[in-house]
Amino acid sequence: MSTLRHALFLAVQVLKASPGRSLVLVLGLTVALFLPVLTWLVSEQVEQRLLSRSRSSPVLLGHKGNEFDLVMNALYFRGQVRDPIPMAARDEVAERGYGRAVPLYVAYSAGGAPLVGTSLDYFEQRGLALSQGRMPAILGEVVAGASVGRDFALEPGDKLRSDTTNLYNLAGSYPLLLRVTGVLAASGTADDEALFSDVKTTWVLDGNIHGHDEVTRDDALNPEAGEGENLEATAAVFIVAEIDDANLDSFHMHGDPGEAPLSSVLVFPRDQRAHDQLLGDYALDERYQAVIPEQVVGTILGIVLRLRRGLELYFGLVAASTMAFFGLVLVLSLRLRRAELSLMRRLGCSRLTVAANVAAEVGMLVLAAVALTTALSWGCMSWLQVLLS
Amino acid sequence: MSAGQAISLRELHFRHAPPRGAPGAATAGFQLRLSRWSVARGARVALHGPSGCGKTTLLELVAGIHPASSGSLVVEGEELVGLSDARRRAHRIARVGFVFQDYALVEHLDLVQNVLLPYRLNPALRLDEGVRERAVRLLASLDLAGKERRLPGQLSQGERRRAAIARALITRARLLLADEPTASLDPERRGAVVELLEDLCAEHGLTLLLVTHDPALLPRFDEVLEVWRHSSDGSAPGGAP
Repeated sequence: MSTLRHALFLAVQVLKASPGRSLVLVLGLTVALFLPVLTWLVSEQVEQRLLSRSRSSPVLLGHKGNEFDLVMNALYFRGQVRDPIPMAARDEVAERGYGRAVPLYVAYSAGGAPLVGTSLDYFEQRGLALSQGRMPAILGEVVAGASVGRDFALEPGDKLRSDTTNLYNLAGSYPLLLRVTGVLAASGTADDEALFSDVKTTWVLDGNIHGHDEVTRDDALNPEAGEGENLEATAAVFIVAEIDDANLDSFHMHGDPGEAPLSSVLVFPRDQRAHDQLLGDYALDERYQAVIPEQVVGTILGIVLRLRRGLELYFGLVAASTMAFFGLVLVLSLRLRRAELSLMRRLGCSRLTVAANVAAEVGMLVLAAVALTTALSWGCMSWLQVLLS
Repeated sequence: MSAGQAISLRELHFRHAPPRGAPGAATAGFQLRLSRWSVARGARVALHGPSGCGKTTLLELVAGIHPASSGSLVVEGEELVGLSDARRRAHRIARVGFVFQDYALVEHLDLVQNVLLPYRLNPALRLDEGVRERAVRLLASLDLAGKERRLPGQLSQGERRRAAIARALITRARLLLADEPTASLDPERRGAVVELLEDLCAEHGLTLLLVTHDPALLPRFDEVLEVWRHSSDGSAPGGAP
């Protein structure tokens, strides 16, 4: 014990005597350790995040086309689905009894956060709970994900305007003032970064459902229209931009609700048989595709893993060259200190103790590098957590 | 060996192997032969002779740094010839204080830590508060008070020498070996250094073996061992009193 204590004392004195050399060695070792460790940690983290989210999403039904876009849109609310599917597709899945079919319409945003039109089933299936307020019940109401709620300091009763999708398209959708009814508890998933409403609210943004003043013959494009003919409204007709109790009843939908758009349908089959049947039934469907998000994410991860292997090889070479540099510096340093090491022996020190003293120096450098690597990795992972969530 | 003898040697032979691959390696090995010699306890002995004759080697043999090839070398009652490295180290730690030719101070340790170095390197020696206080007292007695925390590089040659002497004395060895402690000094200072060592040996009851090139210093010693240069084939004696 005293040998170790003395070895550590002498090691500290040596390292203190050459702070520059010690610092360079520690930093060099830190780089050698940190890069491969970070690569591994990041890829592990990304893999875990992607897999856990995809595993909790058994089957996704969407329009035939790019399955990556479909999965990214439905699971992470990223990007747009080029071809929506009608609400009837969701009803069809529900009617056939495959399991619970949750509509998803991710096309709009508010305050930069994606606005997800869905049903109350979504919250139940994802295990999302409220931290305050209540779930949306009527048109124009939204519940905020934990991070959105925190970032905008949202509370029940607050209002949030949906983002303009196209400033120069006067015929396009108008911003709608959304009422926040609640904030969800943090889940550590993409749900924290989104706003949720009933799917009908997103159809309001589409213009499929709308409320406006009554069109009179004074405001109509065809004031001479006969009895039984529809009056065509002009731009003078006021389009409601906020849904409240007074105008709620004026909201209506022209056409078939079954034709209203959805990005996808998240299906939670009731059992394995229903799962297989669903996939089988839609395998040959010409309009829709049923995909297993875990498989799609697995394909993405295959790319990530290949990238990781490449990075591991690269950083392994960096680490090896740094270690060689470290060894060289150490050998040169010991050569320069040959007289000192010889003195130790002449003073009665055993070879083992001399080696222990040198090992203590190396050990302290390695320990400092490991501590620095741990701190850096922790910092990076914390930052990554924020980034990923 | 009588009870009053600090060192006693008989037919001592040491052969130092030349560096591997050196020119003339087969014949250039250094040898030292001493037929019979003894040093009384408390004596002050000078080792004198030309460079390369083996004065330092003899000190290192007495200290147990090198093992003798054959013969007998008894130091403070312990036969060193044939002793294992561990036992020779134990002998060195327990009985020998060594002032090396170049003082051999560790440049990144302050004076106190240099003096305490034998305690930090040898598990057989226990470093406690008493030893620390003794180190400070030793430095003070060698006119180094107030310089305990200075690094060797911040000291004069004389101060470095005295610090090296303090380190040789810290373990309370009975034998003080000094390898040319007066080298590169003017005659007046040489006398002062020898006087200092003599005083310390008298104060601590030590036997002194001092290597010197300076014939002027020899009359100050109780005994002088003339060490002669020795050929590699061992044809000439290594030294005589």
